[in-house]
Amino acid sequence: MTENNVQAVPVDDSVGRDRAPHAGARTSRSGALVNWVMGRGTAMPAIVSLIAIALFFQWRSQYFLSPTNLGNLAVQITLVAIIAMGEVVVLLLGEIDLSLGSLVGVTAAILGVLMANYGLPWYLAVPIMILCGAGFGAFQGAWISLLGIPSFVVTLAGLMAFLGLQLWILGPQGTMSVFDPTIAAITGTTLPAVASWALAAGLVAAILGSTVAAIARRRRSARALALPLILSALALVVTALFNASRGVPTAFLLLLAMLAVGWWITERTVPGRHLFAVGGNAEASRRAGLPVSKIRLLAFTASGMLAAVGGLFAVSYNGSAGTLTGGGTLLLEAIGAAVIGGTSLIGGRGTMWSALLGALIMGGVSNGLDLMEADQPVKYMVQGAIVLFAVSLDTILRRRQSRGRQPGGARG
Amino acid sequence: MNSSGDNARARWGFRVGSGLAVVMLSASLVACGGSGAGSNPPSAAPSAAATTAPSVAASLPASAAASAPASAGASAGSTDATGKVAFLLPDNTTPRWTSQDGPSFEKWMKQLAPNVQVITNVANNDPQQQLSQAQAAIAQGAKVLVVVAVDGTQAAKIVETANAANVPVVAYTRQIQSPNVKYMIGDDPGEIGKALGTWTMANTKDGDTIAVIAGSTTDSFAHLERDGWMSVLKPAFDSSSRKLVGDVWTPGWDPVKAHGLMDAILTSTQNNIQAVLAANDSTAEGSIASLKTHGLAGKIPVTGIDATLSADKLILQGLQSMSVWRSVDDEAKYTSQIVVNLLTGTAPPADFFTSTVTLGGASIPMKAVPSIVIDKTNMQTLIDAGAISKTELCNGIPAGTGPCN
Repeated sequence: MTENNVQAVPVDDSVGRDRAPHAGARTSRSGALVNWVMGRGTAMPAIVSLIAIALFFQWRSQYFLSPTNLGNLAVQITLVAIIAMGEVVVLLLGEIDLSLGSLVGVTAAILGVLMANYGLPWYLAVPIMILCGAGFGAFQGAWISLLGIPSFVVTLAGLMAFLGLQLWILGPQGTMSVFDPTIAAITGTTLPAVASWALAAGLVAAILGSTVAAIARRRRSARALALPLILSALALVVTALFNASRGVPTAFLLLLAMLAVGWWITERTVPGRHLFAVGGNAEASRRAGLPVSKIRLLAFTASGMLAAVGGLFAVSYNGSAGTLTGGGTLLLEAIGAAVIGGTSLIGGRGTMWSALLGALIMGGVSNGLDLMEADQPVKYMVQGAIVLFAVSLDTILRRRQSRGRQPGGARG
Repeated sequence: MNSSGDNARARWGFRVGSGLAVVMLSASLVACGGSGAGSNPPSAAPSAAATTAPSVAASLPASAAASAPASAGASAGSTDATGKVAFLLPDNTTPRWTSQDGPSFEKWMKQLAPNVQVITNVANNDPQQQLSQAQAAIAQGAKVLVVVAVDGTQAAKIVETANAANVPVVAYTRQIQSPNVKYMIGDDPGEIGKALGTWTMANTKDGDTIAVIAGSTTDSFAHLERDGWMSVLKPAFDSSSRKLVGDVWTPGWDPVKAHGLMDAILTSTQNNIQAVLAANDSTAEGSIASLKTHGLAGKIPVTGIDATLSADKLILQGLQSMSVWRSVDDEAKYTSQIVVNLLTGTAPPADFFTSTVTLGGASIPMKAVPSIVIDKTNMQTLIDAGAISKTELCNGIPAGTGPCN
C-alpha cells in the first residue's frame, strides 16, 4: 500500500535534515503567530525573490508598487493562492493533486447552476458547493488512501472526469452569469478605512503582545522581538498602502484569514502535525500507530474543499461560471506557487504561507509583465525562468543552511 | 507485516471512508445531475431553421432549394445521395461545437440527404487525435470530411491523408493551411474585426483613448480579427485622433487573464480610457469585471463577439455595449448543401461562394456566413433564431429591458 513512500524516504536524506529544525520549532509554544518564519526560515528564499521582483518591476514600470496596482495584485493572486493552499496540504504528505483546477471548474459550475437556474440564495448555494468540493476530494482520497492507488493517477483521472462533469453541468450555453451582489462582493469590495485600521491595530497588538508575554515568561530572549516588529510594521505599511487607493481588498483579507486558519491546523493540531510525519516517513508513521489512511483521506477532502472555495472566488472574480473556469494554467501555477514558496514536492516540509508567497511571486511577475505590455511569448519565457530561479535559490540556500547548521542542530 | 489491529483499523476506515465518499459523491451527483439536465435548453431547435435570412434562398443549390427555406417535410427536396460524411469537431470545452454545430449539421443533412450517414467525432483539442479520427472516418468509408481544425497548420496532414483516398475536405469555421482544401465555409475574421473597429470608431470621439484586448495569440482567428480592426483604426491612431493602449493578447481567450490585463491597463493609464475593444465575449467579460472594480463599468463602450448568453445579459445590464453574432444554423446549412454537391458530384451554383480565401498558397472558394451586430435593441433576433432562450436570457434581468418583459 505504501511501498512508494517506503522507498522514497531513505533515498532523500535532505528531508530528514530539514525536518530537524522544524521539530525544534514545535517545542516552543510562544509567539505562535511568528513561528512560521522563526522556526525554519523556509520562507526566506521566496521573500528574497519577491523583493527582487518587486524592485525590478518598479524600476521598469513606475506603477508596480503604486497603491492601485497593489490593490489589483492582492485580488488577482487570491485564486492561485487558495488552490496552492490545497496543493500544500497534499504536498506535505508527499502526494499531489492534479484535479484541483477541474474541481474549481466543477464547483463553480454547481454554484452557477444553483444560483442562476434554481434561484437559490447564496447562503444555501455556497455551502452546497463547498460540500460538493469536499465530497469530490473525499472520493479521490478514498481511492488513494484505502486502495493505495497513487495520487498522481487518481487525481489525473479526476482532472479529466471532473472537467467532463463541469461541461455537462454547464450544458450547451457554456457560461452561467452570477450577478448576486454578495458573491460579487468577495472579490469586488474593499474594507472601509476605519475598519481596516482597527483590524491592523488589533493584529499588531496580538503579534507584539504574545511575543512580549513570552519574553516576560522568559520563554524567549529579547532578540525574538525583531521579527514581530517587522511583521507589525509590514501590516501597518500594507494597510496604509491599500488605503491610499481603494482600501484593503476583502478577498485578500479572506485569504489571509484562511491562511492563518490553515497554518494553525497544519502546525498546531494533531491531524496537522500528522501530515508532516506521514509525509516525512509514511512507513515509520504507520508503525508508530498513526492513522495514515485517515490522514490521507482528510488531506484530499481538505484540498477538494479548498478547490471549492477557489471556485467561489473564481465566480466572484469574473461574475460567471464558464467552461474556461478553473482551466488554463491555473493548476500548474498553483503547484508552482506552492513549490516556489518553499514546500517540498517529496513531502514532510512546507508551510501554508508558501501558498501566499508563491502566488505573490507568480502573480507579481505576470502583473509586472502586463504593466510593461510584454508580448505573450516573452511572458511565458520569463515566467518559466522565474519558476526555475526561485526554486533553485530555495534549494541552494537550504543546502548551505543545513550544512552550516549540521553540528549545532535545531535553532529557534 | 501489519498487525491485526492495523488491519482492523484499515478495514474500518475503508468502510467508513468509502461509505462517506460514496454518499457524498452520489449526493453531489444527484444535485448536479438534476441541475445539469435542467440547464440544457433544446439547442438548435428545428423550428429555428425558418428564421434565416431571406436572401439565402437565392444562393441555394438547385437540389436543395425546395426544402431549405421552410421547415416542411424532410422528404420534399431531399436528394437520393448516399454514403457517409464525417464531421470532425475540435473540442468539448467550447460549447458551440457539440451543442450547436453538430446537431445543426446533422439536422440539415437529414433534411437534404436522408440516406447519408453522418459520423461526428470530437478531438480533445489534440491535433494528433483529430488526424486519427480522420483516418478512422476514411476507413469507415466517409466520402467527404468536414473539419473544424484543432490546429490549422497541422490539419494540412488530414487534408493530404484524405486526398490520397480521394476524399474531399471542407474547412469549417477555421482555416486549414493546405492548398488541397476543397471549400471553406465560415465567418470572415477580418470582416468581423473591421466591424469591431468601425463600431469603436463610431462610438468614440477625437482624443479618446481605446484599450485593445486581443484574443489568443495561438489562434489564427485572433490575428486576422486584429488585422481587421487595425485596418480601420490605424489611420486614427497614426493621426492621433485616437490613442491606443494595451493592444495585448489574452492567452487562451481566458477571462481571468483578460481581467488582469485590463487591471494593468487601467493602472498605467490611471483610468483614462474611453472605450474597450475586446476581441470576444470572454475577454469582454474579464475586462468588464476589471472595469467594475475601477468604477468604469457601464460608463464606457465595450465590444465583444459571439453573442454568448452571459454576454447578452451583460449587454442588457448596460455593461457590455455590443457583440457580433453569426448564425451557426446558417453555417451548418451552407455546409450541408456543399456536402450534398460533393456526394452527388454536382457543381454548386456559381453565386454560392462569396469570396476566396488563401489556404496554403492556393485560392480556395469560400462561403462567408454573414454576421450582424447585436445590442440591446435587436436582441430579439437571437431569441427568434433559437440561439438563446428568452427565459434564460431574462433570468435576473429587470423587466422592460430589451426583449424581457
